[in-house]
Amino acid sequence: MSSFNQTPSDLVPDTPGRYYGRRTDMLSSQFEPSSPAFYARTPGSPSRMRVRRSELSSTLLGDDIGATSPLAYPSTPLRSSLNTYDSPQTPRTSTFVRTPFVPQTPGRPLHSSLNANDTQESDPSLSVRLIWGTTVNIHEAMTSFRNFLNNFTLSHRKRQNNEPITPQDRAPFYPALLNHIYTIQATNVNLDCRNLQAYPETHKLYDQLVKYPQEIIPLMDHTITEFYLSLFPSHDFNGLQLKIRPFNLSDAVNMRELDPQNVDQLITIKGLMIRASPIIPDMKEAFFRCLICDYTVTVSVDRGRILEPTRCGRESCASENSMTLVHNRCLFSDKQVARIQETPDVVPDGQTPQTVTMCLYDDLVDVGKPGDRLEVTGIFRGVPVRVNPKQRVIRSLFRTYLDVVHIKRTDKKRMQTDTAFRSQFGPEQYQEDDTIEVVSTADEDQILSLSEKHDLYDVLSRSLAPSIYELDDVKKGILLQLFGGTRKTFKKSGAPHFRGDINVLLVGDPGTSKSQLLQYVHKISPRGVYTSGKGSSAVGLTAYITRDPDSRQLVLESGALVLSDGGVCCIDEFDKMSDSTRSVLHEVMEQQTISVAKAGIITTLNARTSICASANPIGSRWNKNLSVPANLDLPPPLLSRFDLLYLILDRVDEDSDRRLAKHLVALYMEDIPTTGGIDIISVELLTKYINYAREKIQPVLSEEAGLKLVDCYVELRKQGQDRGGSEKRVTATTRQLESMIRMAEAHAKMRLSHTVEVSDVNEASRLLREAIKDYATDPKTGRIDMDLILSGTASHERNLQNSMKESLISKLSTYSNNRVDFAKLFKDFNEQSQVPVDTRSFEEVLKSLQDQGVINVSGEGRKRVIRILTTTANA
Amino acid sequence: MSEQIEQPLQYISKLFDEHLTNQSCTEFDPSSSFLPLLKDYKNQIISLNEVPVQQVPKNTLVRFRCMIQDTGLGQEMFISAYEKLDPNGNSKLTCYRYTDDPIEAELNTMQNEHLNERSLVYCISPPGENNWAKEAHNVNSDPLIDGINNLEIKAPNQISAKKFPLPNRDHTCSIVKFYNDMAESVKVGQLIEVIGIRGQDMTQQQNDETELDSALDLFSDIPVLHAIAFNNLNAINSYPSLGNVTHQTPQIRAQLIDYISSVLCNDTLVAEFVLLQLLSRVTVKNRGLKIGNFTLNISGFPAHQTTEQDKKTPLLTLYNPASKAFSDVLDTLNVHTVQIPLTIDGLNNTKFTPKSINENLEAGILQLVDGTVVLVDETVLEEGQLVDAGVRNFQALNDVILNQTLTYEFPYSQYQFDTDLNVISLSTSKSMLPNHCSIHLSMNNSNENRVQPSNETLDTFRQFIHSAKYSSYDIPEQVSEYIQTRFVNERKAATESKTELPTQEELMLRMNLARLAAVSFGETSLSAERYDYVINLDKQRRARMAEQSSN
Repeated sequence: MSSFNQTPSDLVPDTPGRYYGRRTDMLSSQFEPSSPAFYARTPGSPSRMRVRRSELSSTLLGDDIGATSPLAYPSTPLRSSLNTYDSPQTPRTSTFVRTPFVPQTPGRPLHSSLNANDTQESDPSLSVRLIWGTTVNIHEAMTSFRNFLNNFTLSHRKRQNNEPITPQDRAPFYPALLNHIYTIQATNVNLDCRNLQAYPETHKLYDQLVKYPQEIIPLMDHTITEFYLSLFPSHDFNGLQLKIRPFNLSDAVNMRELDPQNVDQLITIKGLMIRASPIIPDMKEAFFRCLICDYTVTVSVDRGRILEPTRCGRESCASENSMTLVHNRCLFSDKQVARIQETPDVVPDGQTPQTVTMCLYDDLVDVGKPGDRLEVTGIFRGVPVRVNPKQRVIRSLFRTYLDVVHIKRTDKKRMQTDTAFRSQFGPEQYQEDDTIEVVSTADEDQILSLSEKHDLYDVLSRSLAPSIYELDDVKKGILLQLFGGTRKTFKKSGAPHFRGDINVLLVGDPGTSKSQLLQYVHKISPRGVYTSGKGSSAVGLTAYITRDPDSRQLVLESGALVLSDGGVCCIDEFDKMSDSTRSVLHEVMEQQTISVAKAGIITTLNARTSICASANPIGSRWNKNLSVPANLDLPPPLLSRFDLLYLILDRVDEDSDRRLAKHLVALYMEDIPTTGGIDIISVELLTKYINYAREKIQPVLSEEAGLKLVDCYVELRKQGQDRGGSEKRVTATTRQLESMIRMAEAHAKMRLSHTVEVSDVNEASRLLREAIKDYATDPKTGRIDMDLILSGTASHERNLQNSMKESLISKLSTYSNNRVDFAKLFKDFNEQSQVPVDTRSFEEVLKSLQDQGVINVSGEGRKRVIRILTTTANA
Repeated sequence: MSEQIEQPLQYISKLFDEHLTNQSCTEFDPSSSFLPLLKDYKNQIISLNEVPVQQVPKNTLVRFRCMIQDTGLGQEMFISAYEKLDPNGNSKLTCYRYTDDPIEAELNTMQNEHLNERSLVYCISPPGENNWAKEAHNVNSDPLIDGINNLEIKAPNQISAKKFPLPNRDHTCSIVKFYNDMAESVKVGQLIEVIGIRGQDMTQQQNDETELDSALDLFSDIPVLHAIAFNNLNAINSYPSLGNVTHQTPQIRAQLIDYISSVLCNDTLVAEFVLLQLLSRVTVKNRGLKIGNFTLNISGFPAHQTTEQDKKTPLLTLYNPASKAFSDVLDTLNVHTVQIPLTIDGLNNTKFTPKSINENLEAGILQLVDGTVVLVDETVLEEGQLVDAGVRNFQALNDVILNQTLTYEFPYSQYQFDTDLNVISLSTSKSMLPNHCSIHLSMNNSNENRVQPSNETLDTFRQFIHSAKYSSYDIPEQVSEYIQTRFVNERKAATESKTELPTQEELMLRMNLARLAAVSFGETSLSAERYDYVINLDKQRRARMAEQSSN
């Protein structure tokens, strides 16, 4: 079988022309303005006429659909219901056209008001030529489209949308686009319908396109091919023709709002592709050969059927039943049937999603994969269901589906992943756009006006999880995490990437709505994945090998971290994670990769994900007398990888208690409670806003901001040294500096500013200090000590330990034989010490001395005997 | 009236002719003339809940009390009217709604302006509906006929069995076709009563060339019902026939607690908590926050050694005699109840959440009507390994208990649906499942003196529970002030005495209990005394829990 994706050389030389070629022939003869054959053709005439662009002459439901389009009956100038309704396709009359251009009077062709524009045509009879059953004036439509191709510039559209216009926008757009198409040798032209609408003279054409796509699209194909050939006369199309793929209709129809009015109109729906059939070879032309005389004949598909010739067509042969189908000389095209399901954002509350069948043809086949979010433009079809194909009895039911003309892959609800990530998957084979994808203009206006609010920061942070009470700083930190810093790539230095992702850890008393915050982040973040530390294994987080149920092949399935590449991975109950699981996070949180070595597969996967985690303290409630590492069952190296660590504590404070009680009591009153204040924005808008900022804005540090960062960092470091240098505490490390940079960038992103200003740095440094103040304060000294987080022991405690070691050794050396019972030593040591020494720290000191090889401990428990090994330790 | 019931299509046809005289045919909607029938002539209309659907001939007027299981079947485009030649040779516009009969007509007699669409919705008889409720709905009950009807051997249908939440239970299902945007207001899990016309069972449609079978093709032989109108039976309307019982609230309350305690070793404290739980429902939904759901755990429930015999019992039947007795009492008090014995096998081999497989939404055990009492019996749980399905089921149960949401799985997407299920869990010791409140059963005074109350008494009990559950309630300003002050002071006192701080959760539990206690006494607003009563009640519960943990 030959498919159209093959190169011409694959075709047998005497194949009767490629199918596209026929279409060109057909159209050029048909629309040749002076051709008298246009009117003279009769319905029963040449079968070749039926060979058309697949999506326009669908053969999905076999005999039920045929060439019912008016183009196939070009000689029917009058509307006569008996004739035309003979074919069982959904009948069309002007009633389906909600707002017809000109009120249609059956039987009387209309004179167009735009005839004045018609300069090329002298024959007056042609100017009123309408396609049957429509208001389409062929000539007018072609002229206006040609005019559009010649003269449209991007500035037409941008002026309407108040976008900045660059000089190149003033140049005619389509010659440039066709030039591009010429270079890449494409045959599809994506037509952004916003352009048609922005160009004053094609408003009508746009409306016609939507209402009569079946008629207008071939006209456009024809026009643009002519236009193309006039630009590149030397180009040999090899009988092919350019195809218009219209998209970006002014409004998308919701799947469940598709109704009989939409039948045979061009519509756009959004949805999630859930199933796709394998590629079906769809026969376009059958090739028959006579077994006796080798006479060959081709038969085109007529209403989904091939009429097999019963006798040889050569008069001298005329054998009965001698014609046989030669399979590999038939003409096929690709076809695919897929199901598309509503996306969660449009399904009405309390209902389950619905699905629509769509047919994909030729180069649209396999563009979308199951699981993709698509924006599909196509012609909505309805075909009746017969009880029995041989009988006329019908059940008055219509099957509906969509013949697709354009597919756009979108992911609108969630924030878009960085385009940089997508481009890494290699150049897309399928061009779905003529420009870069943008947030629709109405949204953009809304976003820009929002960004000008003076209290933007507060509004956004309030809108984040509005049902959660207070916790303003935490919300602000999480907000900045959602925006993220700038990801930097260095070509020269050794480290290839600097992460821009901000990691946040929430720690605190149970019942302080940590989980709800995480759930909320998960909902609005791009590629958010929510997992609970308790349940997830290292495998569940990274990747696992599984057998594909269909192909029985081994496949590498991504785990939570890989799935959230470019997004936020929310991990609840972080502390409940097993050590092996946690260990993979070390790599993820700094290098942002995951190494997998399983079942013979060794690979490194990208996991450029921010982590938002929550953890509970060891003894379910936070012990204020212990430091963070002592309260948390988490290793210090992992803790230090979090940019922000928030303590959410349940503090007793009369005012806030009262506010909380009031809030809760109000919840139980029957009327709807007013949570989170009044001035908040919707989740959708917040998502869009974050999406927009993440995609459009990559802020760069300004000179002053850089200086300010240095100041802030130095100031933070100084806090540890202000006591004459006798005792050094680390109050900040380079990790904090990096965090500060990332947060300042995120803050600038939030303002939609391209440069990081001093104010951004101020806020970043404030948030960081607030967080440090909470989590890195040594409860014994009340001062900030980064060592707590970095090594788990405060410098104060370390000093204490050192002095204990010294005195212990001197004590040991006083015993005879340098050995002593554990119990006696502990007792003596405690007597000597001014402050009581607890068993834990005593054991620690012993352990560390033993490790250093200074003492030897033998025996078990309290019966241990301690012996000093070297007398030099005395010194 | 009799024509309307016996010849519904002819009657509709007449209505249609009348309608045509002044309006266009697209807006034709006969629901208003049929809806009153459900009220006044209910007993004359065949109910699919009582009569096996196979016995009902085509084009008969029927009613069906059902739960919406799936709204994802989409719409169907059809010709709503066509020109028909009458015997005199005149062509006349004929109504072609509410029937599946094929038309012997040429397509050319159809005008596309009569093209219309109807929505297909999969409905099932209410899962977990108790026998007393069925009888109460069955207005013209005849034990003999009902007996015969129940004997009807039902051919098991693989597809419909998967779309019913409770495995291996008899049920009626139907694809209901809704006209004129009626389907826009229905929600999954909603309980409705449809009046409509029985159509032709679904048939396999010939689709040799689509290559992708539509989900509808799965449903061959499923009965079809053309809905003319429907009544909403959610919330307060889910009760068969509600009288007024508020005047004797205190006596009923006491009797009811006695009745419940008869299967709880006469433990009236636990019985009171059970009563409060039966009165609970989600009262406020706001941005994912739900107020009012109250999951009760009864710990210290008598254990039961699982025998070989028990293992053979079908899924979802309780075999611990103590929980069985308790469940029987719950059955007599509530319209819908479902029992889930938690066993390793049960968890691993059933599905709690609905999942769409091949575009067909298969039900899960927890896809139930709002207000259903779910009794989870943990006493029969033994050690063993949970497979993936079991873990998911457990998670689903947790979600329902904590958030009252149920996740429906669709290919590449998940939908969360709000639920309002009353979960009571029984356990021998500390429960594995989360709960809002746990109470220990005291088994000291277990003298068996179960008396089965009369049907009238039971009816009073049910009506009492049902009307209290949906009664209105508010908190006056000064009581609100009182509660706040009390909370603040308690926290202060706790800090001073270094005891555990009263938390947000505790306050929320108390507020919840306060509402339930107030309505159980027939009060519509909270008083400070009632709040104190609740705190006292909660203290008794805590004391018992503390005593238990110290033992």
